[in-house]
Amino acid sequence: MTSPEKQNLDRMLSAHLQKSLNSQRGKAKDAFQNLLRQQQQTAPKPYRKLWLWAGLPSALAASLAISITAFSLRNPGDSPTPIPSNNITAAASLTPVVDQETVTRSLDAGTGLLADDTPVKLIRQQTLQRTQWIDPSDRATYSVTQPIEKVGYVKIQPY
Amino acid sequence: MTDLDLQPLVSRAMRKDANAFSTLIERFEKSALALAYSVLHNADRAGDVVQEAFIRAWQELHKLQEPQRFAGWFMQIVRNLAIDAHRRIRPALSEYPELEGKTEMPDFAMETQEKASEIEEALTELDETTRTCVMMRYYDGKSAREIAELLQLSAPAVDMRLSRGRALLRNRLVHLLAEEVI
Repeated sequence: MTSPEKQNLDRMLSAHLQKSLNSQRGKAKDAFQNLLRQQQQTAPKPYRKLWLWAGLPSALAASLAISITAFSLRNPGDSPTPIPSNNITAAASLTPVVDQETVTRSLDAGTGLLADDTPVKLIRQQTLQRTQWIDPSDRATYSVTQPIEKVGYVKIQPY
Repeated sequence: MTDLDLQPLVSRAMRKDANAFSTLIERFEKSALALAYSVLHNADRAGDVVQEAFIRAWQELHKLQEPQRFAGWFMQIVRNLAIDAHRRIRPALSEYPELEGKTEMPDFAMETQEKASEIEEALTELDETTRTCVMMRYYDGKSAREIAELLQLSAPAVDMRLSRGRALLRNRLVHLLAEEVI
């Protein structure tokens, strides 16, 4: 092949392939950017995780406190009922809190005996905690009212 | 870009650095298109396959044992996907025998359409590896050594294929070359 012929062949093949394939350039990068955007949209948002992690220990601690108090009391009639916390933690993942309202009252629940037969006066503390969330994606408002009951005691000096 | 430049880039991409991977896309896109086009003979489908190959590479990059082997590993993904796409398209084509062996031309002007078809047919007559070498050389300007690395061949083997491919194309397209000289 002579040199001009070789150059012509090179030029012709190069031009043909550029014309055929250049329209396809950039498709892969666009698809990759779209994939990244989709992954960002579906990934859990950091503040949602934060609320989940903040809400879960609180709910567990509340349930545990109630259970321990109930166990330490002999009078089965006075045993407080643990509060199911599933729906509260689920709602907590919605985030962020826009309003929280708490109403508390204390009631005299009579007397009882601890495990070592110490007489105690029981005080039942009832709380209603209303929390409101807003979902930033669709501005929907969610609220959960959580009843909390704690039973405390004060030792009584026996006669 | 040398292998030494490529290795840190691949390592960063393996740690899910999207910017590093975008650079890899820019770096390998033309070679990947040349390879996919060589298998599929269709620019649109080649573009789709390359797109899919990059997404798959991003998702499976953790499986790559040695970053310096990225080029060959990625080109193998492109080739496998292109072969799969070709298999999927063949049964459809067999229903229309008049289309068998024809290649779809992009929007060339009418006067160059015939010439483009002739070049395309001449390229189709080369074996797949030789055609890929030729396409990587003429579309991406790759050297024999670079093509050898991408296709996991030896550089002399690529040289031989390029030389043979050129000779076959020259014989097939000699009349077009004469027109070009005039």
